[in-house]
Amino acid sequence: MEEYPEEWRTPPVCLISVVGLAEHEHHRLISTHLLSEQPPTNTLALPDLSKLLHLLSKKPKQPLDATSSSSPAAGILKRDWLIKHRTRVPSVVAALFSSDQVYGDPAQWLQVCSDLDLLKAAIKPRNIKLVVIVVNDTLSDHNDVYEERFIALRKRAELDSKYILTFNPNTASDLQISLNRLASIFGELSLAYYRDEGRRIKTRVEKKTLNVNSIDLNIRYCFKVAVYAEFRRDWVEALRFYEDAYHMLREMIGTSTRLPPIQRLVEIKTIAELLHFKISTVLLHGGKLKEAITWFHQHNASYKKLVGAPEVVFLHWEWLSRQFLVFAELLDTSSVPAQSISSLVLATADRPLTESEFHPSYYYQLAAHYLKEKRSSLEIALSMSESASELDSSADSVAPSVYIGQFDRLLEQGDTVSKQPLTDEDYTRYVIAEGKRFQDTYEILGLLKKSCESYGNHKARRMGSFCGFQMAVEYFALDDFNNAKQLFDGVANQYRQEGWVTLLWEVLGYLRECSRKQGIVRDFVEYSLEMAALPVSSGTDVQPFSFKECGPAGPPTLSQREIIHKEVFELVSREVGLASVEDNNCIKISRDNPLHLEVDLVSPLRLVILASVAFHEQIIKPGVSTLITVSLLSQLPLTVEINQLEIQFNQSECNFVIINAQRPLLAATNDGLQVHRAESTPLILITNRWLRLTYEIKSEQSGKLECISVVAKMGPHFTICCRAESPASMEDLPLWKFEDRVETFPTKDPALAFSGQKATHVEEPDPQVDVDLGVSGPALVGESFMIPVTVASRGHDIYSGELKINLVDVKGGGLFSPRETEASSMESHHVELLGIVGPEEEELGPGEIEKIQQSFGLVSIPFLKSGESWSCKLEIKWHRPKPVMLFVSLGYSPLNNESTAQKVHVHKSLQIEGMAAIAVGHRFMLPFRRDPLLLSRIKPVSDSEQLASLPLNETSLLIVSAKNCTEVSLQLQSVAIDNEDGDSERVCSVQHGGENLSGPSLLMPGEEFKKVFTIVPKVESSKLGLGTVCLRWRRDCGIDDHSGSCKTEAWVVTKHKLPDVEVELSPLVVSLECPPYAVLGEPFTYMIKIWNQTKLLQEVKFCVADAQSFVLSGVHNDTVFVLPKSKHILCYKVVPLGSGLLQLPKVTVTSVRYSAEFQASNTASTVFVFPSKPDFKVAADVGKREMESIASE
Amino acid sequence: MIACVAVVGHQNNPLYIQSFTEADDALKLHHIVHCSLDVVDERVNNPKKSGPTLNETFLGLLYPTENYKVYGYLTNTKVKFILVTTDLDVRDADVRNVSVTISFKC
Repeated sequence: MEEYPEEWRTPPVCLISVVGLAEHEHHRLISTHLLSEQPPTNTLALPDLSKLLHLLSKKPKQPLDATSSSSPAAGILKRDWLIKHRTRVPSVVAALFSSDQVYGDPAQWLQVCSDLDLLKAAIKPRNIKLVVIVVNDTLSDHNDVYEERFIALRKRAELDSKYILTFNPNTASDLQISLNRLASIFGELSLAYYRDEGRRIKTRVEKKTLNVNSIDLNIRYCFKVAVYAEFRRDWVEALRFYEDAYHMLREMIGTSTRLPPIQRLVEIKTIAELLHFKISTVLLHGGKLKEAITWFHQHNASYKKLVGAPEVVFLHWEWLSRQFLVFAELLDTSSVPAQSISSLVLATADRPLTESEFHPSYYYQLAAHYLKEKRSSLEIALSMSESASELDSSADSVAPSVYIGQFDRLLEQGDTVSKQPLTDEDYTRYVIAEGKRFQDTYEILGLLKKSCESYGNHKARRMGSFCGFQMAVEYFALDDFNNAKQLFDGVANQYRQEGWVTLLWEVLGYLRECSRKQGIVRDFVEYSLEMAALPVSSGTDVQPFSFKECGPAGPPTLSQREIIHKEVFELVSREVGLASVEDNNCIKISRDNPLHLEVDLVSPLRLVILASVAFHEQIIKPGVSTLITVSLLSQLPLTVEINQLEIQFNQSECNFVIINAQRPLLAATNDGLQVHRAESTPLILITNRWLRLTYEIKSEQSGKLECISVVAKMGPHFTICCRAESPASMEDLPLWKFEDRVETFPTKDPALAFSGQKATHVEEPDPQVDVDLGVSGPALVGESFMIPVTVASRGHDIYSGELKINLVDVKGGGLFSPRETEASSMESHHVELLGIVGPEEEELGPGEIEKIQQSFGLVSIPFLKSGESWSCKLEIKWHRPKPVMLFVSLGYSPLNNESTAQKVHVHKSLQIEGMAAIAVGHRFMLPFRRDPLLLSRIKPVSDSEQLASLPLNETSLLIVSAKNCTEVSLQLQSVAIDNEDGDSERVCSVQHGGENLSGPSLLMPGEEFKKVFTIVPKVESSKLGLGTVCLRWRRDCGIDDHSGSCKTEAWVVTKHKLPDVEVELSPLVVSLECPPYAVLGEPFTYMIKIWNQTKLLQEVKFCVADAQSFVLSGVHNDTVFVLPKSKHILCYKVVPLGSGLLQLPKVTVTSVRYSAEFQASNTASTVFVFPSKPDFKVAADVGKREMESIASE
Repeated sequence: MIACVAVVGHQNNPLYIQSFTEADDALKLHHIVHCSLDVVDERVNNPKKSGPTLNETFLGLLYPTENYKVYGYLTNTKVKFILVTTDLDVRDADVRNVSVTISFKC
């Protein structure tokens, strides 16, 4: 596009001219304003009238009459017509006069009149519009003469009054108004001018009869009408006339005889190109992308076959290339997004368009293609033409003609230069000489690069690769091997990925040649080997490939592969210092320049050599030998002999070397450290056949034994290191996957081929150390439970031994209760490893205990010789009764060698039950035969919510029981109630019912211990805390309580929280009183006392039932009223009639107010009757004791 | 005239390529077939733009080159048949018939 002149590339802009008053700033103001308007207008500012007259009279227009139009035109379009109308011929001339000139003295007025006359005469032949502008810059008042002069001016100028404008530059607002008015008038007149001009020429087009001579002119007229329409921004008309011109031009090809044939075609094509450019621009400007592309295809189809004379065929290709390039640039700069194109639209078109045709990349690529055609045609033309000097001399005097697409010879005769038409021969020489001057290759590279980038933008990788390939070929031809190689490498990767072998072959051929020319031996060998192993024409050679344009690789055939194979193996197997591929380069492999290739899992050289390694066993014992199969596969076309193979493992001491017994051992490899195994049969790799080698191998070191790589030595200084692969997980050769070939297993045993691994596991040696956990019986919650651990060596010395201790919950989950995480106590762990005690009952020092946590411990063990033992004790505390799994693991090294540090492990585990030692219970009781009425007990409340109720200021009994739940006997030291609240004495008195224990009390398994406390609540409360029962106990270790192992046994405190109680005042208290025993026949007093503790009168009904064994005197039933805060006593005299434990008469007391009934329990209303008066000798407190013993039952 | 027929696997690997031209441009045809896979990919990946060919296995004209036209046919198993013709004015219906015939014979 850049080669087109500026006036062709940009849309035409109206041109006006301002004349006069150049000394002021008005010209600049007007020009700037018009240019900034939308649409813009160019201004030709001329200082005075003479300049305009000179400009317009410079090329006087020839009147077009009938005779001139019928004469043959010398050309179709003049080269300078468009620029003339864009820069020199204005559509409107604005004559500027100052108000002083117009409204001033008569002399000035006369000057104005004469100027106007001259101006009118100059512009009239060209139909240029006139505007008169009176610049009012003096602010003087001319009202008196204004009207008269204005009318005179209008008449003189022969203008409508609206085209005589007053320009007021004095204030900004006036200036702006004036400028706007000017712009509007200029726009209107410009449109009128271009419309009139267009119409004028259009009538000529319509008048013309089509004969050979007039076609030229018709094309010209159509072109002009189109340009005038463009000036008016009438794109539809412009397009129509451009198309008309284009079609007429196409018709001229067979008919025109004006010029010699070659030049005639050149002229037509040049004009067709410009017209096409204009049409495409207008279409794209209107957003008609599809139409533009369709138009381009028509244009291309119309001219593609107009190749022209054979000697200048390169001109055609150049022209075609330029068409594609220009269209690509137009698409590139067009604002119409290609993505919005739907192929729905494409498919309905007459000629279906494809997606790629909407992208500039397609056109850039074809531009490059045609430029390549041009280059080759030009080379032929150059080779056929005369010597260069003749060409140059003939080209010197040729210059472009005044008509577009034509050339003339300039003849200098003295001072004058005349033009002479060229013959086709001269023209041919001229264009060949011109063509020689350009470097087409760089142009081609530029086009391909643009295409490649554009393809990359819309993710067309393969098309991009193809462009990359073409670029690389160009670089290769330029001997720019670095760039070529870089591009070829990228392209080769693309082809490798998708398995396009033939294309890959071609690229590799170039790459091989690049590395040969650069002297890079590694690359040369790699590319050669890859090529030799490619599956090209590996089948039956159905299609005899005969690539005309095949590159340095040659045709992709088996024979070519063999040639490459031979060449590369000749290079690598030559003796030291002799190798060289060509005489002039430095490719060689020598002692100083050895070659070592690495083949990994993704390397393209996997085709060349593939190593599969399988251990026959998955797990082996240390020192016990197992079998390993090493299999090699090659797809090289010819057999390859391997000098030696080195098998490398992760345990380097297992490495071994396989040597070809028929070949002398190479001195360079004989390092004396590795095991050499001779193979009697030669190590020969046959195409597509596994070379299987099976050997014994053993390892002394436990852990993983993995084969890392197989290094094949194929020449004195050439090795290939091939990464070992497991047969079980080996992937197919990517390029050979779809080839027709025999596939065999890498191992003889098919099962091994499916499951074989390149790694095996070497077990660790059997441990010869015992770890004993001496635990008997379950642990008790709360105590520090000691577990002795003994490490005894049976054969191994123990170096750097470590004992790991783990406590794991049997039921899974942690030994940790999340609910208790907030509790800061140590009891957040249910089971806790407290510490480790050493062999001498001493805490181990920090050097020995490496780490200890609640459920994990790590202890280092000192060096032990064989037969020695070491022990320690684990101190574990249970906070909850739960079973725990104890894992103890000993890791040690039987040898004193830190570097190898092969550890042997012994694991022991033991489940230990954790049990609660003592179950604590409690019970509240009321005193014997005394029953306070507790109102809360009458209310119907569910049992779960009800707290135990105690009567205020009454003595209640609390019986605490402790039961040994274990299977061992325990010592109980004390049972006490701790009340955390300091004021407890004030609100409630809790006292021991009896004496404290004098010494530890032995509690046998299953036995229960009870202790009685008396409680007297002193404050009424709905929720009274009574405290916690604390039991101190420990395991009973036998008879000798104060010696041996139990010496350090601490007392364990078990706590039992007592529930809160409700304390209430009982309104009535009923107590029964009778002697502790009776004697047959002897009367005694039986009293029922009723206390009214309220301030209310209480109505109480009572009823005494008869009893068989007693005779009763008194009221059987009645209602009494008990006064507030007073006591009522019902007194009966009772005589027992029988002996033994007898039931007293049943008394029922009913409180009317509370609807509560009291009836004494059977126990309370029972008395023992002696047959005769017994003889007692007891202490005074017998009764009290008897009371206690009865209560405890 | 058909210049080349190619069968391309679902991983875009060539399964079969046969050219029928007198000119020695087999390599060029390889390139053309390979490049046409970009268009196949685009049509498969952007079904919106594929228009009427959405539900059809015949993909129509893939792209024109300087001398050839490339047509595509996509089977349910993502195997592609690529047809390169020298006839620039070939009718779509004819190519469709040829493609379907090839796919049945394969």
